[in-house]
Order: sequence, then C-alpha cells, then structure tokens
Amino acid sequence: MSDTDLDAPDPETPGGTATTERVRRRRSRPEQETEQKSTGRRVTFWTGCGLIAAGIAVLCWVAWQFWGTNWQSERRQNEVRDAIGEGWESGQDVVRTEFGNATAIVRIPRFGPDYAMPVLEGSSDEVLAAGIGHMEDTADAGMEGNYVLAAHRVTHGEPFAEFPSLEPGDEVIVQTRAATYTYVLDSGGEDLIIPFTETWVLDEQPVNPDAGEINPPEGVSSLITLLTCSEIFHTDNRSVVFGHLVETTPTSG
Amino acid sequence: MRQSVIRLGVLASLLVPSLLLASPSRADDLNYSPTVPTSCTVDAPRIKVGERPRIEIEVAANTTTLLTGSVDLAIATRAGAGRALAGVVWTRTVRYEGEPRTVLGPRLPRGSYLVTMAFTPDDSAFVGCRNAGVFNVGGGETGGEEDPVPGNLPDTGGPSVLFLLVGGALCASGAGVLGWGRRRGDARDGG
Repeated sequence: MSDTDLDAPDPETPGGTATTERVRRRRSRPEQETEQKSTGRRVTFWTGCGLIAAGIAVLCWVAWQFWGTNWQSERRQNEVRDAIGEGWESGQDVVRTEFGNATAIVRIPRFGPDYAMPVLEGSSDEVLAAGIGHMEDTADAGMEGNYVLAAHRVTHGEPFAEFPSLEPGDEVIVQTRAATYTYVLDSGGEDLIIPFTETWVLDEQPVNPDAGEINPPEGVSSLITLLTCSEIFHTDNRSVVFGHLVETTPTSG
Repeated sequence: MRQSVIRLGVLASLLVPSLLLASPSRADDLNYSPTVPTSCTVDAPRIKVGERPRIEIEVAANTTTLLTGSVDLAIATRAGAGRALAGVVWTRTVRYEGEPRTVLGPRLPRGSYLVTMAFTPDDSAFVGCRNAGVFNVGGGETGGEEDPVPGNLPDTGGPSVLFLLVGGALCASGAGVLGWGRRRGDARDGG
C-alpha cells in the first residue's frame, strides 16, 4: 500500500495528547515499488491487447471464410463458365481450366432463373472452390448409373446455399457440350441426412442400408445425386437428394 | 536381232513392275485428301517450385494404323488469373511413335502455365491435331484433382463453430484483462 492513514498526535500542537488531530500523511513511494507497479500495469495492458488482437484475427478468419471465400469463388465460377463457353465453341467436351476439368453447367430453377453453376471433375478443395464437383468414379451426365454432384452449402461460392429448399419434383438441368439432360428430384433437401462416412450414395444403384429411410427411385437407370453439408458450420453430416433422368435434348438439335 | 529382243525383254521386265508400282501411287497422289481425324491429349500435373513438369502426350485416331509423326510442344505463362498468354517460355519438338509418352519440361518459377501440343502426322492420310492444358507451379501442394479424403463424402461445409467461440472468448478475455488491470490501477491510485 502506498498511502496510509495514521492517527497520531501532532507534535507541533501544544497539548497534543489532549487534542488529537486526524491527519493524513502521504508516505513517499519507494522508487523500486513504483517501477514494479508500472511494469505490472504494462504487462496487464499488453496481455489484454494481445488477447483481443488474437481474438479479432480468429474472427476475421471466420469472416473471410463466410464472405471472402464467396467473393473469391464467384470470380472463379465466372472464369470457369467463360472457359466452358469458349471450350465448347472450339469443340472440346472437357475444358481444362486452372481449377480442374470442366464438363457441364448445372441449372436449378428452384435456385433462381440466373443460377448456372459450372461442374468440374473431382471433389478436391480447389474444385469445390470453383463450382460443383462431379464425384470420382460415378456416372457421367445423362449416362446409365449415378451422376453424383457435390458442392458447398456455405463458403466458397455457396453453389448449394438453398439446398434445404429443394423439393420432390424440382428440375435439375445439366448442360454438356453434347446434350442437355433434365433430371427430376424424387426427394427433398431436408429428407435425408447421413454421416460423411456413408458412401453408399455414390453407388451405381444406391440402396439405403437403413430400411424405411429415403431411397432413390427403383427401376431407373440414370440417377442424379446431389449432396452438401447439412449445417451452416462444419459438420460430419451431409444432406442428400436423389433424382432421375426424364429428358435428353441433343445440343445440336 | 537376238540381242535386241533380249534387250527389249529386259527393258519390258524392268518397266512393267515399275509401272505396276507407280500407277497406284500416282493415283493415290491424285485422289489424296487427309480424311482420318486425330485427337490430341496433353496433360501436366501441378508441381512444386523447383520440380520439372512431366508433360504427358497422347494422339489417338479411329484406326488400326500406327500413328507416328512429330509433336511440337510449347509452354507459355498465363497472365494472372486470366487466360491471356504472357509469353512462350519453352518449346520442343519430339517424335511420336504410336504410344503415349512423357516429356520432361523445364524448371519454372511459381505461376500458372499453358502447355500446348500440335501433332503433325507422317502419314498424310491423317489430319493433324492440337490441344492445350493448364498446369500450376506452386508451393507445397500437389495435384488439384485428387479426393482429399479418399473413401468419404467431401467436406462441403463452413468453418467449425469452435473458431467463432475461440475468437469471441479471446476478445472477451482480453477485454476482461484490460478492465481488471485498469480497476486495479485505479484502486491503487485512488485508495
């Protein structure tokens, strides 16, 4: 303590023992103690500032993930869309871009009249940051088997941001250089949620191991499966919808 | 007389085969137009700085004939994220002998590059072809097409909510430390 209240007789007051005055005296601070206090204050101040700066940095990173990556990916999507147009005009079915091999453009009227998202081969981070990924070893668009597409629901351009709003009967139009394939969904965006380890949805003819749960339509040779994350933040669960091919229109026709 | 007959016979025996051989070839030349289209494929995977790109080239055609010819390869830099070519940095002409082959490119600085191939067939019955592919020279990452977690469904979500909580907690604790330090100082100074 630096200050001390003392009850003491004033030596200069006559008869000080009889009339005791309350005096406040301030003791002079020892220099060393002052320095220690100053250092302690500084440490506290900079510790607080450091914690706040670290917190702001982490929050900025989160903000970048939610907004910055969208801005970046929208530019990439535009770039891939343009490259697809140029590539198709020059006769390439598969257009090589900086972010992967692009093969199609997907339109989902439920997501808006201007929705046109490029499809790239694979499901690497780079591919999913530039459009929709066509899962490896699954059927090609319009072919027999299961055409599986995956995309981000949040961050990186959010191609499947409105995924939960999908309903049975919605159309998914896949345009390639050769033809335009129209699929109709058989399940809704919130009907089926599975852990990310359940890869049966990638099978040529997927069969849900949980009896009574959502299954793709039976007796259909050309299926489409769309999948994305089931929550806004990172999760181990994936939302899945199934659909089937209803129409094929050759591009030249 | 006999010698003349023999000379004529020899001349005829030399001329007939040469005429027989020359006739179809001349007919081919007259009616020739390249009709068999070929298809070129060129690919170079993403590489790290300091590595040399392995350019894979392949020429295909709907024929059983062995496709041979020369392939002109070129690598050009790409300006920024756009597709404009900034300049050719490497060229090479290699032989193609009917089998896909790999050509080792040069060491390149970090950036995005376009590798182009142009196939000129030896057999004039084939039509030449051209193609191009993009590859990147980057940091420690490799490839752009592999599944990051093979066997599982891809990660298509946002960041973990933990980051939001940690950021908020750090800010709150920092503010708390500052406030506590200030209160303590005031208590010391003011009594």
